Amino acid sequence: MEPIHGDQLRGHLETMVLSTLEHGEAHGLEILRRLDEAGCGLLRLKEGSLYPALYRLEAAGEVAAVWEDEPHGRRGARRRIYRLTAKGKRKLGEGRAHWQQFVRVLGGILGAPA
Amino acid sequence: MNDIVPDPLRAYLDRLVAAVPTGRARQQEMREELQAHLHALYEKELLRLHDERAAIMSAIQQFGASDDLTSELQATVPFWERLKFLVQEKGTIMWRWLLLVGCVAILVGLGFVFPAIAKFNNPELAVRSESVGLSIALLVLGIAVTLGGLGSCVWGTMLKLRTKSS
Repeated sequence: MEPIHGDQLRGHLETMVLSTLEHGEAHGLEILRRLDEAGCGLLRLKEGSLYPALYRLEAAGEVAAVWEDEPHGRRGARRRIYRLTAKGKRKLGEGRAHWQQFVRVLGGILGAPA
Repeated sequence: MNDIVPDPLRAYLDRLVAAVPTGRARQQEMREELQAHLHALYEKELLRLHDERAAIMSAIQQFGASDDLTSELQATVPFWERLKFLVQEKGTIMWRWLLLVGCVAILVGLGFVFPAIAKFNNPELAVRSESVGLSIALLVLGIAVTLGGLGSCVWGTMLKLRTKSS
């Protein structure tokens, strides 16, 4: 299968991040690991671009973040731990519904229903 | 954070956050979080490649081009935070603009106030009701613009004094 690059994920990254946080709180690296695992290693995302998405989600109140207590083997830099909020859960539900509609409509147009 | 982060990674991180229009504390937090991730990436690449320079290049390549990431980070800063940054961090330039705008506003405001007062003092014009209404409107507008100008001048002077003292 062809890899999926970051620009193809435009508009979906935030919902994907919310989806990974449904499995429990996580820092940036762990979120990427979960995305990679769920995407069967086919996602080609510039790792830094995760953070603007996380900051947007945080500003919208869809995720909440806390700093980890102690730096852990990363040269003194702490990580932030993100968790899904109630608003984020609602947004994830909306994102899934929107995606299903998108696939249904485009699948019909392309003659390849999901 | 300590000094073990390789210089090219440090320079890359500096470039990423330096142009984000937000306060120093927020920039520092952003930098720390990105550093934690980038350094983990670098260590993973170092284990794989056994070459520090190649690991740095690979980590940066995987993390993303600094210009693109900076633009994305800039876009996450809300309008009010940009405004606050402009006033607080760019105070050295800002005070001149505030004084200039303030002086112009005072002159424009007085340009409304004096003719309005002159109309009140003219007994022929004062008796016409539509003229009185217009004069009051001009007077109120003139006073508002003048006070706004004065406020801008005071704000600019305060910024100038703060910049000088720091």
